[in-house]
Amino acid sequence: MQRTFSIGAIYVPLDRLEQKGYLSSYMGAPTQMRGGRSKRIYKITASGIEALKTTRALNEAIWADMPNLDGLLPGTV
Amino acid sequence: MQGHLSSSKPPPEWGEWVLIGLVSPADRDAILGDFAEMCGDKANETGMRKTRLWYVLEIVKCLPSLCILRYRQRRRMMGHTPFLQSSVKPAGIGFLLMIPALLLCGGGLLQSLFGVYTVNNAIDFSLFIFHPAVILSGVFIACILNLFPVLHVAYKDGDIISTLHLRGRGLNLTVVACVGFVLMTIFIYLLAENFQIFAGV
Repeated sequence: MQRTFSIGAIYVPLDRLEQKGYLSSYMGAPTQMRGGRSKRIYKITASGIEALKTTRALNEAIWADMPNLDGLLPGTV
Repeated sequence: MQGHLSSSKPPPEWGEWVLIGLVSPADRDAILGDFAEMCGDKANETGMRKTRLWYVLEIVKCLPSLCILRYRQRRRMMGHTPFLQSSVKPAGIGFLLMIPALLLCGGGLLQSLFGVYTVNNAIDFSLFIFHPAVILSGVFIACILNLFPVLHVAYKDGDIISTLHLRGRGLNLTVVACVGFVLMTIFIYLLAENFQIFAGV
């Protein structure tokens, strides 16, 4: 997946996921590479893993219902 | 950041001010640290000139996201904090007070600069030492500042403190209001006086 995010943009979904209880976070130790600032480290929670499994199952179910796209012509579905 | 970047000119300092002003204190270290780390990596890969450009563009790009993040965090605080909910009311009253203050202020300015009598014709303001436009402009600014505690509320040592956060430093609202009042008073008074001199009134 070749998709880039700006630094600020990534914090919005992370914040949302944390509020929903799918992620938890803590501050790491400050490093010199970061100008003496700490890093926020995110960990997935048990409910996050459950949600991920549900989403994956849902996606797979959607794709399972789709016909085989090989050789499919426009207008035939 | 400067310690990691070996080249001559570091990314512009104003970018860091923007981030400090925009990001909540809880996220400040994480986001500014990410910027510093990415800057270091970019500087090693592409050189400082391109890094500076990347830094500026990245700040511009992430402004909407950071605004959304801050808004979400504030709304969350408002939803969970009874104190904050109650403090919305005086701020609302302050906002309503701004309307007559603005009318009087505008009227005073018109009277001062152009000699047009509008909403102030019922009162003889010539008795005042300072022109009413000056005083009311100060009140107007104070009313605007009155709105800020709602927008900038910090939770510290188990208590909620309303402060203005400028460049990451908590400033007491009263001090800011007084300084703003005095500066605006001087500025508008001088402006009105000079305008009258230049216009030959």
